[in-house]
Amino acid sequence: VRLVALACLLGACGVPSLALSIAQSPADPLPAVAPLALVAAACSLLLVAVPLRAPRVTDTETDVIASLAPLLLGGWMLATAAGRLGDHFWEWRPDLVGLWLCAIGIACVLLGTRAAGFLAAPLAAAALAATPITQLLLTGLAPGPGRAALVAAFLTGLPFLVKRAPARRVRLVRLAVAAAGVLGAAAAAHELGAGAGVAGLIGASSGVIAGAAYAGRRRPGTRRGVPLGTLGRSRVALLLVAGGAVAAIELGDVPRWPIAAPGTYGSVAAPPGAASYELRPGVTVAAWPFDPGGPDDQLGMVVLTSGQSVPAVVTVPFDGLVHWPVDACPTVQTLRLDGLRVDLHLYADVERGFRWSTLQWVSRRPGGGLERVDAILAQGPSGEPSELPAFAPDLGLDAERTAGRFVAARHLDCQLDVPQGADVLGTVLGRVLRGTA
Amino acid sequence: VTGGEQTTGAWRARPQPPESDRAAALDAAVGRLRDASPELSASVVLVRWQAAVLAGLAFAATVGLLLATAITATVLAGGLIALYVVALVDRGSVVARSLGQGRVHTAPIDEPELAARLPTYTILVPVYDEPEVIGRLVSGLGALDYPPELLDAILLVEEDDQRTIAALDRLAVPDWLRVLLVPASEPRTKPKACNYGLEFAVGELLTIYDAEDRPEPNQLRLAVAAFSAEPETACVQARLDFYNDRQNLLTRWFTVEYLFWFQFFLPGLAAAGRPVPLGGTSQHIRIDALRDAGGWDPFNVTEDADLGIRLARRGWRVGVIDSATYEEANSDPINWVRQRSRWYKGYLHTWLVHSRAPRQLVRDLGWRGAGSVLLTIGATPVLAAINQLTWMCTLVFVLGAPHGAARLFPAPVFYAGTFCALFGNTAVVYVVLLSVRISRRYYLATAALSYPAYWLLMAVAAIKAVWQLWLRPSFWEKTAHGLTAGVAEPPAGEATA
Repeated sequence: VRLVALACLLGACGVPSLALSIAQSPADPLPAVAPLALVAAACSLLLVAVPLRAPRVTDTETDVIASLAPLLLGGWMLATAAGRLGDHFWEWRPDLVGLWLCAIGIACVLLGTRAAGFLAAPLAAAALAATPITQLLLTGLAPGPGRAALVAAFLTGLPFLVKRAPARRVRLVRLAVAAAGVLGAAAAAHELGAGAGVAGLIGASSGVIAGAAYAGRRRPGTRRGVPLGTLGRSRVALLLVAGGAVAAIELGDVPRWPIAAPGTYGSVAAPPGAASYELRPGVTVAAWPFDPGGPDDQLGMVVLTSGQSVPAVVTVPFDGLVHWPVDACPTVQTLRLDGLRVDLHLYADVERGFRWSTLQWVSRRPGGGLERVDAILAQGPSGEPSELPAFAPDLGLDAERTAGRFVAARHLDCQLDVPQGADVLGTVLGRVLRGTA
Repeated sequence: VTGGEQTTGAWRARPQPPESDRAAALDAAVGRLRDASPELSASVVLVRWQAAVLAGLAFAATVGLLLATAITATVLAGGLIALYVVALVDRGSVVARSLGQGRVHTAPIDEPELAARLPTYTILVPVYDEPEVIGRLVSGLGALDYPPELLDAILLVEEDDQRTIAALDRLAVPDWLRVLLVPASEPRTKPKACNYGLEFAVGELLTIYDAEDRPEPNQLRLAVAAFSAEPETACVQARLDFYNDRQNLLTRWFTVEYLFWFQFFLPGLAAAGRPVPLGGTSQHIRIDALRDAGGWDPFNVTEDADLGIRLARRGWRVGVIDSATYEEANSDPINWVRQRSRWYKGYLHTWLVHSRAPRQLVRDLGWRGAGSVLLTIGATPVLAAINQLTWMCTLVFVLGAPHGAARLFPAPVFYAGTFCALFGNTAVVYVVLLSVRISRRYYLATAALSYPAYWLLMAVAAIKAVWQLWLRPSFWEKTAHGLTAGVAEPPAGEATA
């Protein structure tokens, strides 16, 4: 029964995630499925192998009722909330939270509420660790595979290590030993050329084992060494596997964005005199105006973000680069222009009638690395001049501004229509590429 | 209570009542209230007019949502928020009354005159499938400060409960404790067992304890003093508390809830002269008043709350005494949900029973008393069940801003709802924090501050209760006891506060 439940749980995680990621990124949908599916698999296998050490009190009615809220909320997040975030989808990854909730709901029904509670923490940690913005906030640097692994290991393992330790003093020491183990082993493995996922896995394992070994040594009457028997029956093992599974995800090496092959879109180069900033080590951003070629009241601007990896360029929030004159309501649509796939982000000042259409795509640079192009087309109300947003990179407030804008813009009607036809936007796209190539 | 020790298995030497008496007692236990006052019996969930009204409301709401979604949703949301506001104001008034003039008996209990005329006291201890706690029973009751010759302690065991009987065989049951085997029959509920015990009770006063209970030694004497001081009082409720309150967060929440309920709420209700829903144990009752009221309702799974209302409807007063009984707090979430769902189901059932004849209810209790039954007994599970829905709506509203939300919540409804969400929730947390402060159990402060998370569990239990009331109204959701492994229990009779 549990194996069937495991299969259902994996399906529950995988199918919606797959559908969503295909809609968002047909280039390579698998990575979006991976985090929760892997963790769910690991946790469920452990559940199958290791009976829970808990009172044998069960209740089917409770299981069903407890599943309702996470299923409904998770379903709503997958169906609605993901689309509301517009270009911030890839920063916040609300699908992971939705999937986490759905997985918990399904686990409640199939495995029981107690087992779902057992799975909740590692699954939540996995979802959080897989979110680029979490890594950005925790490290202040561009997300990468090694950082993802470390964050995952910390999020999943260390709080529980602290909780499990028997006494306060030992707990602190154990935490320090475990943290040192994680950092040291991960860094060493990475330096020796191991893949980031492998390094993370080694780091997480080392932290857990180091902490457990220290605790075992401190307890009088216990034998020296790693208490493998106890470890195998504990949540630490569960969390170790969960953290390792997340760590194995190579965030940086797998593209998740509709990336154009070199020569298809062509690369966009900043003209001389364009404003340019280095946001983070290896990540630069530049902006310059362009003539969209439409009526006189239309203005255009290109914002080019360059880096070495997809997360490096994708997780630079667009709202951290340009400042809209008002609270603008974002929405996102995917278009095909001249056979090419681009994302169209619409921003609107509904009250005054201003609209900003942003075409966005990521392409590979001929010399290596990637670049994200945001071509902004500003259109004012009929007969009035349009306004361009101010180019003023300020990533320090990215997260706060994004969340604040999302809440503040609630009152706006976000169901915007495409203001121009595909031919107009295709013209804009062509002008951007021709004018700057 | 000391002396009279026996060897193991000796309880079987004391014969059970004759078979004819047992059969008659069983008939009375099941049918006394149902036959004498069928309108007050929970053997039926809904009478015809109640079913018609509920069906009509459901039909109207469904049709309304299909044909006029916005108006119907607005009316429903407005009605719910109005219920929240009224319940909040009502609870606030009860707490204010309690703070100003809590009606808790603290009468002196050592006066020679009182000691000279102590009445015979019956103690009923119903157990079912609880072999793990049966051993603690003797030590718990043995600590009571009461003359053993005036004690009529009865252990009520279902005759087909082999595990408990086997545990009894291994126990040295003292002389002052009678074991009555309750004939197996439906409904299998605690009140039926208590009614059976009532038929053989010989005391003037009666109380109920669970097997794992640890009453404070002076509790019986304090109850006697309270009854002596107020002849019109039929029942006094002792405070319930937990000896494993530090075991985990759930037991802390549970303790905080009980602190509020037994220190603030029940004394406030008693002071206001409103019906008091009695607690599950440690209710001390004049046995003649209990028999006059028809005993417990064997079909009601919160027979204690129901009895409190029936006593009030017959004009008896219910008081609160300042003595604690220490129980085992439910430390497992699923076990807790099962227990709480039974309580909520019983509350709903009790409210449906007493609202069958609304005019009579108002005649018996007055408008305030009848309103109190609605808000204390009826609204508690209903609001707990709806909470989950309202929280999800709030979350979706804040994060998702679904289209048309503004039409569903016109300004008055929106502001009243916001008031409930912000002020109401804060007020509840403040009051439970106040309970912690007054009891000086500061280690519960974190639990009080995180109390809203406890409501999530309550919501699950309330939904389960509504579901079960529909399908299995008299099913007794058994609570597993003995989950406190590793938690030090206080010596019998010692306070742990």
